[in-house]
Amino acid sequence: MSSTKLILQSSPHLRDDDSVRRIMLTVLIALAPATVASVLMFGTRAVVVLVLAVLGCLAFEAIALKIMKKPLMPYLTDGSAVVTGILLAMNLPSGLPWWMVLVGALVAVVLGKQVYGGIGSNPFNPALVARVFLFISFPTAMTTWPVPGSDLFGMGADVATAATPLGVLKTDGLAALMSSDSNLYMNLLTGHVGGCLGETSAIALILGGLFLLLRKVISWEIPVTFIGTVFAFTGVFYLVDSSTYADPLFQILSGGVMLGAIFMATDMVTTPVTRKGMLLFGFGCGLITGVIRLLGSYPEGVSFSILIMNGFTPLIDRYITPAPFEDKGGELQAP
Amino acid sequence: MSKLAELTKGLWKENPVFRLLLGMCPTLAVTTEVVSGIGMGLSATFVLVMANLVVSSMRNVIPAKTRLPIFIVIIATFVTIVDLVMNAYAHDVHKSLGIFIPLIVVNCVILGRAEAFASKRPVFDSILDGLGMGLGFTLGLVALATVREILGNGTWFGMPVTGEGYTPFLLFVLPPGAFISLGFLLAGMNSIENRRKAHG
Amino acid sequence: MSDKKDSNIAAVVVVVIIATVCAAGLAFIKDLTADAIQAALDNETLSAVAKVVPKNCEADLAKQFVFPEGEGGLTFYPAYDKATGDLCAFAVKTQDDKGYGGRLQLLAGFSHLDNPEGLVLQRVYVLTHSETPGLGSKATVGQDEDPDTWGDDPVKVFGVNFRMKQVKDMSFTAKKAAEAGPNDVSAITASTVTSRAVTNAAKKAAELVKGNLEALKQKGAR
Repeated sequence: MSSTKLILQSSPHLRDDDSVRRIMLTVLIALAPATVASVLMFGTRAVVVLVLAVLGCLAFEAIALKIMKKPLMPYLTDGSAVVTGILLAMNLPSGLPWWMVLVGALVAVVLGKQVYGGIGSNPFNPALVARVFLFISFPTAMTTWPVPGSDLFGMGADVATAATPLGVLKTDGLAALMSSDSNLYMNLLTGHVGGCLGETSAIALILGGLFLLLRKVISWEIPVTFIGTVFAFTGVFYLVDSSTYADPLFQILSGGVMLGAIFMATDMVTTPVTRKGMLLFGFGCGLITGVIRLLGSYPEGVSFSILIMNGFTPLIDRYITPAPFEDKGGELQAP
Repeated sequence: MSKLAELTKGLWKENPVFRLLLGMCPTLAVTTEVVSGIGMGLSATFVLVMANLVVSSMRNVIPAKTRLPIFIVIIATFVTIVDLVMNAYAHDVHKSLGIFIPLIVVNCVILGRAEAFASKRPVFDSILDGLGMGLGFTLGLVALATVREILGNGTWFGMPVTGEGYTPFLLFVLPPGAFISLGFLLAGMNSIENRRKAHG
Repeated sequence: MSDKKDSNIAAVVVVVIIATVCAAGLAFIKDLTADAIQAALDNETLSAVAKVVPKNCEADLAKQFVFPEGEGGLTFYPAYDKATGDLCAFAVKTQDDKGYGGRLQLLAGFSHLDNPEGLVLQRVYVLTHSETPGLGSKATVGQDEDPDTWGDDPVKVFGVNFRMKQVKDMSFTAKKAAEAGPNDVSAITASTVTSRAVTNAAKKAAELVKGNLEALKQKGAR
């Protein structure tokens, strides 16, 4: 053995497969309302995307483990691949060609997770890596949104499509958005708007979030600061010029803010461990989302904002250190 | 080291792109299509050979204190020659390479070879070294550009290779695709190298 | 001490000599290639202009002018009938700053210059753009090929929207392909912003030509 160095790591120190499985199961239960809502809105197309994404993630996980000569168990059955698959599906439009869903699964598992060494080692949220990969690779397919509630038992791409509310806002302006849907806020809450599978019903997502909070799988800091910052940032613009900028309530209910803040930005592996760090993380996500939405050329910025903040996580964890030890000139000393 | 080894070391063992990871800026930026990769590679090869030749033949008169500015002046001269000649006689390639032609000046491979090799070795060895490194650089660019052009555009050397129904992965012609492709190529090279070492 | 000084001076002298030699060499090469570079640049403009004017017309770069003069004017490239030498078309370099990626520059060709009502938009040719690859960049699909191979479906080739159109008929509004009438521009799927930018740039040129046809013809006459 050449390496007898003492390895210093921040918490958590205990890695326990059962707890991974328990957490993943809780997340799956929390995702259930939103999953059901997506199937109700988009019908068989949503089912196809969900099934393909989950099976794809499991299959590619198994292949990747084989290639890297790691044991299949317990990695394959710890539920993380299933969660990644469902989260990926939640970030895709229904009616996406089947092979693109599989490409997404491949990217999520291999490029998002396994190249870094598997579960617990990935710096970026795998499902979001895959979403952004697909979004940049296939911009047309990834921005073709079937109209919710139409042609529920159909297959394939032959379906009526519509822009998302955020898309309408970006290309046609606020007046067009407001006149496009007389019942906009109610529809945003129930999910009767175009968008990704999981970007639709705010109520279903919040229900899942409350369950996660209750089971202590996530804590309140990131979701609340994320959503709060988006609200505050867009609110300032709204107050200054309410004829151009949409109101903050619309901003937090539309697009991926709820899904991102509750399920994606709270991923334990890729977000800070300390409370202060989490507050900073949520604030950063909200700010970047607001900047992209209002000042950038893309209508939506949630996935980019979370990935960017994922990149900052090691830095945040490093500079907001847990209390018991102080960092003095590079040496760890007891206070 | 034999003369042949001076030439061939740049191709694999000390390949500037895959083993030394030098000149990453043009490597990532101009490899969206094979033709630009070759254009950049050959331009850099020309500059490398000429800079190595001049630096090596003047290695006894170049004062140690001011050697770096002198190297840069020599390299910049040849880069400017490439820029002008290409603009005049290969206008389309020049247009597609754009700013990256003048930026050959700051390609670390070239200054690196002048400093580490040509300023200490005889002229002929330096020419072989420059040629080998340049061709290795070209090879690296072509390998990366092949992956990116086929996946990202469905073509190779501008000719369609993937058939009608293929939807190109646009990501691969964009900057993130460059990093991802390079990462997987490096992983592949390392894996081959490890296996070679393991077998003796 | 003096040795050190000497070596410093020697080092500077060597740098100066090498820099001078290099500069002289470059001056020589620059002189050698200047004509060829100018020819290549002219050729580039000529071939772009040739694409947007009728086949029997030929541009004369020496006759290019800016109209209206001063800041904000557009560059006009008059083209002349190859047989008779009469002014037969204008290629106009126009732009719009509200593309998805900012400024978008294109050439628009106009023929049938007899009266403003008969004016025909030959086609447009996008010169520079920074639109999203695969979305907005579809505005350039087929533009380097012969327009006769385009077919007549504006959804497949965006350029069809601007090909051989009576300027007086055109509405210059980009709408979704499903909603666009025969005089509207069918927008590229998921790229309304880009479609609008191209349309607005073409509109700017068309209005300028239509409103100032006589003045332009005078400026362009040989």
